[in-house]
Amino acid sequence: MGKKDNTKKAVLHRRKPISKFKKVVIFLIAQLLLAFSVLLMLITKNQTMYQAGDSYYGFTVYEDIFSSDEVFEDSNVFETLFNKSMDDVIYLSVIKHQFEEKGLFSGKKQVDITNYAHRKDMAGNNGITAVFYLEDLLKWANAGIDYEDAYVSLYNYGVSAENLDMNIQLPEYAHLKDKMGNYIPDTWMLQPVNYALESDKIYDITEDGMGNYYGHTSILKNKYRTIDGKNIDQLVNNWADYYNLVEDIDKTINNVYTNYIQYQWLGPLYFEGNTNVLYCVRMTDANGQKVYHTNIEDADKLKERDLDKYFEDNSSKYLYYSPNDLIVQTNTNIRNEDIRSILISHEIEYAYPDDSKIWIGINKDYPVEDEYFAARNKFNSKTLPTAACAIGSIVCLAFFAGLMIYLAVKTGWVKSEDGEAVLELNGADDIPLEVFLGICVLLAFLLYLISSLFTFDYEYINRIMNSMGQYTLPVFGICFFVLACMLGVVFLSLIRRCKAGTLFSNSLVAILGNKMIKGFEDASGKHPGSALVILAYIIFLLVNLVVVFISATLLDYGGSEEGFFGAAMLFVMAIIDIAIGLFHIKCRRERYEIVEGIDRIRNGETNFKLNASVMHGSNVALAEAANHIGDGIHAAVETSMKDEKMKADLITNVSHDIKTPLTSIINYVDLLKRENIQDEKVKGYIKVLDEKSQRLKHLTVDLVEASKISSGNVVYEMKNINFAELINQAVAEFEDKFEEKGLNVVSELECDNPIVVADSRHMWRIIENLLNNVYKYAMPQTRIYINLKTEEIAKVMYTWVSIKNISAQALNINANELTERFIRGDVSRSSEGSGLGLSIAKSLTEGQNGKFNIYLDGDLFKVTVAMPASKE
Amino acid sequence: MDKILVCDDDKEIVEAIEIYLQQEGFEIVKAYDGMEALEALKDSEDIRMVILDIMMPRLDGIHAALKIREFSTVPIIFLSAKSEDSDKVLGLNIGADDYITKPFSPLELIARVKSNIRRFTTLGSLNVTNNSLFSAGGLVINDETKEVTVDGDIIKLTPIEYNILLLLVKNQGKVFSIEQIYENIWNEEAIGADNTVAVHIRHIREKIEINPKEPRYLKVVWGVGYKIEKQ
Repeated sequence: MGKKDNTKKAVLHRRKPISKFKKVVIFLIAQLLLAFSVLLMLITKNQTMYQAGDSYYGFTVYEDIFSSDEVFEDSNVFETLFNKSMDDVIYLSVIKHQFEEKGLFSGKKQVDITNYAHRKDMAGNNGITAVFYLEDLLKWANAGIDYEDAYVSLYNYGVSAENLDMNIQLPEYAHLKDKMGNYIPDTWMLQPVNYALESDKIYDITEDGMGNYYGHTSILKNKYRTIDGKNIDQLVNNWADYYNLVEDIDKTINNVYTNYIQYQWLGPLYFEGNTNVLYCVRMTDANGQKVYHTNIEDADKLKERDLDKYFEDNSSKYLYYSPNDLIVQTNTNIRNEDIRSILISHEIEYAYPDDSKIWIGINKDYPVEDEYFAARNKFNSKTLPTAACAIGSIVCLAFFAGLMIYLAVKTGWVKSEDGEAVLELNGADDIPLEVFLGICVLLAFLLYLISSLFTFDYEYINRIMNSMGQYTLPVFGICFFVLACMLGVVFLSLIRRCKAGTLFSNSLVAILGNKMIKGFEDASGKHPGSALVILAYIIFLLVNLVVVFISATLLDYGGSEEGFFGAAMLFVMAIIDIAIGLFHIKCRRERYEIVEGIDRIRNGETNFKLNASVMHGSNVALAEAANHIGDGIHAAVETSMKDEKMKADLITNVSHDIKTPLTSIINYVDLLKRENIQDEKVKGYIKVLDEKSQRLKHLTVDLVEASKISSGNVVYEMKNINFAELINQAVAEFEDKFEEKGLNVVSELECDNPIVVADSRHMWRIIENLLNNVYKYAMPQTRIYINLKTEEIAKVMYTWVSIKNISAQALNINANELTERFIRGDVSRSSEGSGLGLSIAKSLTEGQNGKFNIYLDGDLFKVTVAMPASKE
Repeated sequence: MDKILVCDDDKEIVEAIEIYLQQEGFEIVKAYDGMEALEALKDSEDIRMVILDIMMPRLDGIHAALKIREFSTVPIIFLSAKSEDSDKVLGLNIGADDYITKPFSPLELIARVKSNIRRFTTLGSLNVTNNSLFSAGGLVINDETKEVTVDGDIIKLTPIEYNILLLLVKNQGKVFSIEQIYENIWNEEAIGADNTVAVHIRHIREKIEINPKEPRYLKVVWGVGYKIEKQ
């Protein structure tokens, strides 16, 4: 439990946000450290790397980072260079000994092949040797050592050597044949045939069954002759000697050539005035004379002791060595074994017999600008302690890493409004991963490019250093810093993505993939049936693809039978495809039928039925559903109609039941009125009874009518009627009533088309109700305006009448409410009227496709009844 | 003294009718359901009219009327709370002569009773031999004497009213628009729609009809014109 808590606490601690400013500062410090580290690394590298040699032969020397040498001569670089020089000098002296006479190159120097080839092992060749001029050997090396294939026959006339005949055909040696009188050297005959057969010098040997042999052998092309003008085959008596000699010549030519190249390279390098190296090598030549190879003037005239002194005086570091004493005299760390190993490495120890002596030293004044000079300059120009730089670089790097890890932990966490740590991504994190990584790679590449330019390409850095001088490092540092910042931003963004789990989900691949999946899901609506359809479609496509592929292959195969199969498959597939297509078209048609059916149901044909048994696929369920909807609507309509009818019946019945007693009331009130009653009070009572019973009578009539209309139990007989005529008739009916109240009718009944389509009796009822309304509620002694007009409303021609009057009482009511049942202008209901008049008028109007509207404007009461105008 | 059979299951209504009709000099025979009405009718031969309610116990008015028509041509007036058009049509179709809805006006009832009895008693006795005699049911116009009678009662009309009525009676069943009537009577072109004619016609109706709102002779065809129903 405690552990868990600790872990949780640690997580919370990790997530504890730090301020943005802090983050930026830490980030910049980290990048600065990185740049600094790299700069230090660069300085370190620059200070520890030394280039030597020239374009023909260059090498790099590294100074030990942690060496504390203060003098160049003690440095690792110096030691390496010195060793190299020593190696060169020892080697050069040997070559000089081989090629020079009296200090100069001599092409006429005679080279004993056998001696030269065996100068180390001192082995002989039965005393057989060949002597060439040095220049001939070098020329031969240049021309190349070539061999040619020769056909050899050995005729066995018996077992004795005399009977053995050997024939060799070398057409291009015809001149030699003439000169020697015999094509085959006689001396060769002495060689036992066995050697020729057993050695591997003759190959591809066949025997013809009679002791005769046939084969091939390699013959050296005699491009140059010995100093006395002989070919080598003239120097030997048998095949064994011939081949040994050829081998030695081959080796000698190669060795001489290799040494000559080194001689040409090293000779000028260590020539006096070209180097700070002083050397002197004393050797003994074949005649027992002492020879000096040196770049010191008159060295041969100095005594050995003076030479020692000369080197000790003039050299910063020196060494002299005499194999005879096995003593190394030096102020360097080089020991006897080191020199031995140099001698052995060149296989030239033989050249230094015991009486040889080697002096070598470095001119302490460094008068020549060679690699010693350059290295010494560089060593002395060190600006910073190398070791400190290296350590500083590592430390900076470590701090950088630490800060970056800290930032990586903290990045993304910010404090939300309620004080909790929440992960927040910024704009950079929304860039798709691929694009981001692309930028990242580009930056890294740029960084690498700059780093490599500055650190690895010595030439380039030199050039830049020369062109920019002291600004090199700052410029490089700034470049690096900027790039490092960018990379740092990229790195932190990646970390944030990891934290938010959007590393992969924000990649283009994931986004596109999701889009595709979502597209499929949208199209299929995630409905399992749709997945089935998609699956079926894919299978359909695959089957088609496979069949087309197979048939194409078969057709391509060419055979008549395969071709027939291919065509048949295509044909069958085509038929299946057409069948599937037809099926879909059929389904489509069924779908239209269903839509049509639903339309019919919607238009009131509620008992319409689709035939689901002839449908296919999902249409069956659809058709059944449509049928069910039809049934439902049918049932609902039936129920509601039944309900309305019941309601209407109820009201009718109730009103009947009211009417019977009402009849009695009215009749007896009437009888009372006929009695000769003198009492005025009683007369007043009877009057009230009369009025109220009459009112009750009207109410019951209106109630029945209203309920009949609203329950749809009204039959409309639509005919063309003259609206103007109707209004005239109606107004005539009300003339007396209006006169009684002093109401004056002003009618304007001229209009484009007074003929409307309506039920005349219901129209009368509407107008009667409206005029009744006017009669009841209009202010006495006012005018009533009745207008007729033909107008187009929503593309239908309407002829409408408007009746305007001034209300006797204030109309504190909404116009819409007036047409509701039992609503009257005065809420107190004190006035006469059932409150159904306007409601009935509106219902009847709308029942005849008319429009009924009431407008109230202050005391102005306006009703319009618009009826569809006749089209005739 | 004409005998009238009044049949209603509501005794008070029967009594009220009795009072009214007695005042007019009729003798009343009372019945309270269809069966009683039938029996009363069979008992006394000289009943000249039947006022019959429709909704009654034992035998309703419709069936009672049917039974009466099996043996008698006596005028029957239905007096019912059923005010639907269909009820009226049904009642008149099975042989009733008139239909009054409850609650009724006593004056209207009396007028209708009188009218029906007169028509019944004078029916067939009227010989329309005179060329100047025009009639529509109980409405008779004598063009020579310029006399108009409804069920025998003389009606006083203004000359214009007389001319209009004559025009309509001469062309029974034909609907005349206001314009046509105007042109026929005034012999002038009608200038604009006017309700002068309509007012005259209302006056005629008020004079010749028992209930002008439910006219028997001069009918309003709303939005078209006026006509005299062909009897």
